[in-house]
Amino acid sequence: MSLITAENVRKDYQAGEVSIAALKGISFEIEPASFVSFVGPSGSGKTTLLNLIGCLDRPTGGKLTVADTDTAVLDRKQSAAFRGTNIGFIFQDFNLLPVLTVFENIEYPLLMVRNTPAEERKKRVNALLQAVGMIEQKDKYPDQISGGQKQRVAVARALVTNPKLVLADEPTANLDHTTAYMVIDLMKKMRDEFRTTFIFSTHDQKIVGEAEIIYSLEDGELKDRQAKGGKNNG
Amino acid sequence: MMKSYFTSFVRNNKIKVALLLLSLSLYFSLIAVSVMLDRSIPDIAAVPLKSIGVQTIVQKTGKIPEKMVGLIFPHSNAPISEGERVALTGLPFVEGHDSGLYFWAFDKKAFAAVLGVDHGSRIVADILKNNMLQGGFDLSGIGVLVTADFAKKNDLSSGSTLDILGKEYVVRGILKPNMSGNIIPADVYMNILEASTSARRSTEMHKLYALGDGRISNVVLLRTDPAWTGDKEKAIKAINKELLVFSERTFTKEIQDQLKLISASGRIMFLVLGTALLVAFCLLIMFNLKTREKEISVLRMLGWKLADLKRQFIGETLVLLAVSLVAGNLLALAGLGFLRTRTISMELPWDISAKPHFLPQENSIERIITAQIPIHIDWLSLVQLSAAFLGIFLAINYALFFRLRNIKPQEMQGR
Repeated sequence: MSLITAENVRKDYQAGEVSIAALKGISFEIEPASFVSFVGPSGSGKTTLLNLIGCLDRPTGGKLTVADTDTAVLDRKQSAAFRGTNIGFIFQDFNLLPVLTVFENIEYPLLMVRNTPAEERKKRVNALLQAVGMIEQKDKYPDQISGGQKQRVAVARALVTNPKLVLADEPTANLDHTTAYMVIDLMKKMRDEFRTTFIFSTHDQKIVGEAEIIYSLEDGELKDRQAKGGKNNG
Repeated sequence: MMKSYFTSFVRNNKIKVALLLLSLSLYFSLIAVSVMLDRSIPDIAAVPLKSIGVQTIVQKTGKIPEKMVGLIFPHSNAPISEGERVALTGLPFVEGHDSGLYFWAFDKKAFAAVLGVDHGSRIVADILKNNMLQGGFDLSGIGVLVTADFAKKNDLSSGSTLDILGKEYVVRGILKPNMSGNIIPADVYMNILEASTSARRSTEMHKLYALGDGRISNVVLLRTDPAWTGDKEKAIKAINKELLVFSERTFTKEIQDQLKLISASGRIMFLVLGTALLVAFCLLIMFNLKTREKEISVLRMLGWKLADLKRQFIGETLVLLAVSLVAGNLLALAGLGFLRTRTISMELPWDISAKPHFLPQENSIERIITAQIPIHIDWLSLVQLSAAFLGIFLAINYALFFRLRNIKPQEMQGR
């Protein structure tokens, strides 16, 4: 059973009296534990699509189902709860909270969204810190670590609630090549370890090659789908 | 509420948080001190009259002797009739009373303030008995008591004779100085019947008033029931509107003027300061939300609901306010402790002062009463004040959270 099903999904933006179609009726399916990339030039609609999958926005038309939930029917409060339970996020500019330490940045989704007991939180956060290789830096603040390390923390934060899906928006855009590959490797490793679906957008052709399924978007339309190694056929 | 998030915020905004705590606690402590002072005014105002053990002195507006018309203003030396005296002492709040005849005697040698008192009274006579320096308490016949200052000035001792308005009196005892705390203080004390006879010998008194026979009094001292809640002054004035009432109310305004915090200008200052603080608080909340906008949008994206955010920010405000209130209460207690060590000066009205107003030099000394400020800490008021303070600032905080709705969850911003 698919984790994500998009059926003729459209998204229009209103700019004054002009309606701009960011997505022009796209359809696809993504299976659980996939490692998927959406590629395309600027303005192709990949970010819009990630926002829709992440329940940060609603489609104008069509049907988008994520983890058996029709995202169009969720109100603001339900969307927040849905994101807290099912989706993790990784951003190109990391979006770590500057006032929290590395440990606390990973811990707070558990604390507020899941209300997990302290002992369990500590265990889970330390396990993830270990997994992303940041245990030594756990008491540092975001401004005391490098960009690559920040993104490692962001990966750990995205995974801490054990979501079904992690959305990564240009996760390597602010990193040098070596670090970018390390982050993608880490994401793959996490996928293998936690069976979490990773979807990331990128315009870096070398990074795109690391994805197992690549969807190419152009001008709001899905142009191509490539699967590597026969891992996914969705 | 996520405590670690809050403590991290405080750690990273030490100066901003410290300034907020300081201004809130200082403002609270100023309000608390002024409320306590305000509550203490009746006690402070009762201090001058406490020295003679009464709460109210009643006198009556008098007329000006012919020779002095144009030189002085009316004085409260008019006789209070026996009917008025009986009516006064029969008022429902009166628990004890005394009366006297107070006059000034001038001759070529000296000026004397004389008070005629009832030999067996339980108020003035008791004060005199308790303040004997030399000789004994004896106001029978032509016996008088004089204060130590007056005796020194006029070279008098027990057994000496003293001429008052053409009659010779015998000094039976010397009294301590300033024993009534400058309230109706006299140089010479004599029997009220003898004082009435002396007053009748004055041609001027006859010209001004119909004196009649028997005892004359122009000062009535009333010991009143503190629990009586009615308007005592109004009840007294109902007997005769020319009666003058000196009570704790007389001193209240003067005390308020001296205790600037609770004066009219003090209230305005509080209003201005309070408004400035509220505006600053509102701006700070707005600024706080603005500077944390990115954080909030990330938190919302990660699944925090508006209710979670409100709980977090209200929790933070609650902690900051609680710390401010604890500090403010401690500061207030320290301030009140300091005030307890201070004294307040109160100027007595001319009418109950020792010397006539045309002897300004002596009056300027004797009309001032200093007293330690009797501050009582009203714990219930402090609790109520703290709750009100907390309520107001929390309500403002809550009202400003409409802005949270405008901060949308962080969206992907890919290129």
